[in-house]
Amino acid sequence: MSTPLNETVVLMKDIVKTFPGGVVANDHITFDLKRGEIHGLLGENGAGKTTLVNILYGLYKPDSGEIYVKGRRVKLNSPRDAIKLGIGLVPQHFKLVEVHTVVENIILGLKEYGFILRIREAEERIRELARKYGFRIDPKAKIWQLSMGERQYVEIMKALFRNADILILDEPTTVLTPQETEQLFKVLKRMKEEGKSIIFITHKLDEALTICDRITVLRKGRKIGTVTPDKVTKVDLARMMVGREVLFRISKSKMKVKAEKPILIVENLSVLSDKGVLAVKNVSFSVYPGEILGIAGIAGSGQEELMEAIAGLRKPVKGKIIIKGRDVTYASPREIYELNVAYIPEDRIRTGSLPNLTLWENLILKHHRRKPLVKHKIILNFKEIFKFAEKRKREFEIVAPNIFVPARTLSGGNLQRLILARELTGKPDLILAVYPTRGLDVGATEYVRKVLLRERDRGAAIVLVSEELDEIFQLSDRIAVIHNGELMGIVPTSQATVEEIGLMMGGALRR
Amino acid sequence: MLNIRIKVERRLIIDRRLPALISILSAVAGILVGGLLLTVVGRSPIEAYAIVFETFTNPRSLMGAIELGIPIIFTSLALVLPFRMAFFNIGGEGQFYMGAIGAMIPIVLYWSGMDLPYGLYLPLMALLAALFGGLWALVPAILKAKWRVNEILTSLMMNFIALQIIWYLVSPGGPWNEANPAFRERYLAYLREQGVSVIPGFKGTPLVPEFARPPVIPGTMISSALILAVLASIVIYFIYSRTIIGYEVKVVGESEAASRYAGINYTKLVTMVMFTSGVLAGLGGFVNLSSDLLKLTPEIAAPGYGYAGIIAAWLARLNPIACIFVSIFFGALTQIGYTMQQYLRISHFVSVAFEGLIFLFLVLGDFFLNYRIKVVKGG
Ligand SMILES: Nc1ncnc2c1ncn2[C@@H]1O[C@H](COP(=O)(O)OP(=O)(O)O)[C@@H](O)[C@H]1O
Ligand SMILES: [Mg+2]
Repeated sequence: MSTPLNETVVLMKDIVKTFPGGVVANDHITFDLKRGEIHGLLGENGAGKTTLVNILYGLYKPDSGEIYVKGRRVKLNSPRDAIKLGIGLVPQHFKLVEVHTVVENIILGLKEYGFILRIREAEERIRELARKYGFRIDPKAKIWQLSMGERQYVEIMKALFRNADILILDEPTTVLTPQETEQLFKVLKRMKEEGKSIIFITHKLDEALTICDRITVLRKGRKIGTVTPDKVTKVDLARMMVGREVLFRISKSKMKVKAEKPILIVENLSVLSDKGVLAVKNVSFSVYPGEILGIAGIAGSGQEELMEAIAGLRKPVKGKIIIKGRDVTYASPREIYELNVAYIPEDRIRTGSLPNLTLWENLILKHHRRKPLVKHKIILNFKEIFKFAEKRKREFEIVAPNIFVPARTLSGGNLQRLILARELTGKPDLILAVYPTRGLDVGATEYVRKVLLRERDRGAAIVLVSEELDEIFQLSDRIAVIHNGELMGIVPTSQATVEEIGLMMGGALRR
Repeated sequence: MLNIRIKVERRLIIDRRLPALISILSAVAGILVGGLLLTVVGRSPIEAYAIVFETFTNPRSLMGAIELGIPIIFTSLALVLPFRMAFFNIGGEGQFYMGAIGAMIPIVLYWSGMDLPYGLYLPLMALLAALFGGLWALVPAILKAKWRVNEILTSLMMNFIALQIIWYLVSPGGPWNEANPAFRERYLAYLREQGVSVIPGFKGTPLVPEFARPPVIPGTMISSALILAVLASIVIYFIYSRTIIGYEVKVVGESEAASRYAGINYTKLVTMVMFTSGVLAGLGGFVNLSSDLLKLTPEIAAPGYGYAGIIAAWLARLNPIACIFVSIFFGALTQIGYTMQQYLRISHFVSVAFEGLIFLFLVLGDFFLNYRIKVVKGG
């Protein structure tokens, strides 16, 4: 089965896919993949990228359209059919069994390796693959011991193990650190040189421009065009993707004169992690009305626990938290909420929203005890509730047919809009935002940042936790750097440099 | 080569009318197959079908079915809120017993010579039943809220404890046994009026006197307890869909992390919900005692009303209004069982197997509601 270079290995013609509920996820999309190329699929969240590749992988059936693989018209009824044709998919959300080892995960479902006797053999093959492509992984390691980057490699090896020569990666970099991303790109290039064909899904423009040979842009289920990176600029791509001009720099007004009384004071605070170890060590800072305090740090340095402690979700072991002059060190989440504090949690799906409940049920969460949403103390006032939800939906431009659809039907960006719409109700005095743009596309990220700045200009005090220095520098008035649970120092943004903050994040510098 | 695979898929969208339709179809299928079961023991399935038909069309048997279903309405309704918040209370049985014990208190006092205005007995019995059931249900709730003790184990254990209490109270020599000398004077006089001249001293309390039995609904043979049951299901429906409590129950059931984040006080909520649940199961015990059993004996455990409530609540998909219909259907099955035993002279076990088969079909039907089976051609 030798296909000459430049031969089309996949052709998807006029693919249409409509989901129950009427969303046209793919609207007559034609897409082709050549042998030995990395073809980028670029689009905002909800553009239909995952749907398109799921169709190619046999997970969804298209309503209409034709699929050709290596020159032959095919019908894909299940992933098994796709795997037989040499197609491998690394899903957006990994599907590995955490308590199993790497080998066990890789051979899962392969009949010919189902016996203990052949695990050795599998291990050997995995080692060989790892050597060939430069993965550094112990086949006997348990999945839960691996970083996100390593798990990704396991998923890729799983596909390679099944002899895939057409590899689909669905947003592989969202969970990776910059270093891990670079590593991945090296691996992809090596696979390309091997003659493998790769579909690389992303919503990050820089990545698409760096790694892809061609880029196909999708928007709202439609194909906008296919371009080569040398012929377009980042601005062009952004326009194709979002459908309008995008600001890469949001202008920030000068901070108004600093009020003398801080909204939030944290004093010598120590907090334990879920595992019972000290995650936040003796941290102190204050936040004033009208300012954004950015907390920079590598994810997992204690910033999540710190924010949970302020929100009342985690009891500190030492220190003090004062909000608007009141000692709330041991207050409940509800008491904190009643002090007009908003909290945008890290986990949007399980904590920040109720996936199977409707938009209105999501939008009234936390406010559901307030008049006029409630009458006679406990009775839901639907007239007011629906009015409230409609208004939030309109103001924050949440794209959904109505307020009665479940939240799980929203795309990532829309879900974050929903959370913002809910949290910013009632003009909060303090906003705690934890990785508010993580995993969002350009348009949604821009929106979230603008909203945070708008709130700051209104006079809210904001604590922003982010792992993207770009974001920290763009939004913060002051930058607090956390390393391994300790505060390495607080620097006004005007006096900070990326190098310096980077060194502090690594624990090499204190200020 | 023809290559056919069978594939099971989860349904994404479920039509609102589908659940009822599928349940009815599965029940019919179960009855048809159950009839065939009777041929094994040498009875005609046609006769069995006739009995089924009769039960659902003859007003007398239908009323019997409703009567038999009333306690299950209470015990299934009791589970709507706890199950919706993923609190798996299987202690309905024990709360039911405790309700019966509570309801028995005024009666025991009456037979020992203490009098209350007649009109007060029923309300007082209901109140005590509700209180006893409610308090009993709080134990697993508090254990879970405070120390995260698994509610399935605790609520189940509480069932056995409650039954032991009944045994203690009513066994010969026990404080509530009908032969207790404290009851003798009044109870013997009462029995004499009925033509009985001694108190036999079986395990059990004295009878519930006529004035403490709920009246039947005029023109029917159904206990007015049905009205209480229907009111209760409307109240639960209202709480679930129109109040903060119902909303918070929904939120906790959907995601505990989100409920904590939203500042919902789990301890308070589960306490309220379980108290309500126990009140309902307890009222079931009161109704069963005062209109059917008529004396507190360990036989209260025989029908397993609390456990039937679990199945009924689940088949009703935790919809309080549907609980009424499913429970009555359960009552009808029991009624069919009785009639078949009587007219077809089959053993109790065959009629139970017949009922079991129908349940099996209902469970299968539920599976098809959520999943669909597709035959896929090609490899
Ligand atoms: N299983 C599904 N049921 C209903 N709608 C869906 C389903 N999967 C995706 N969608 C909708 O289809 C659209 C495209 O989604 P998706 O392909 O996941 O986009 P992307 O991967 O580009 O973010 C979105 O509006 C999404 O809400
Ligand atoms: Mg996607």
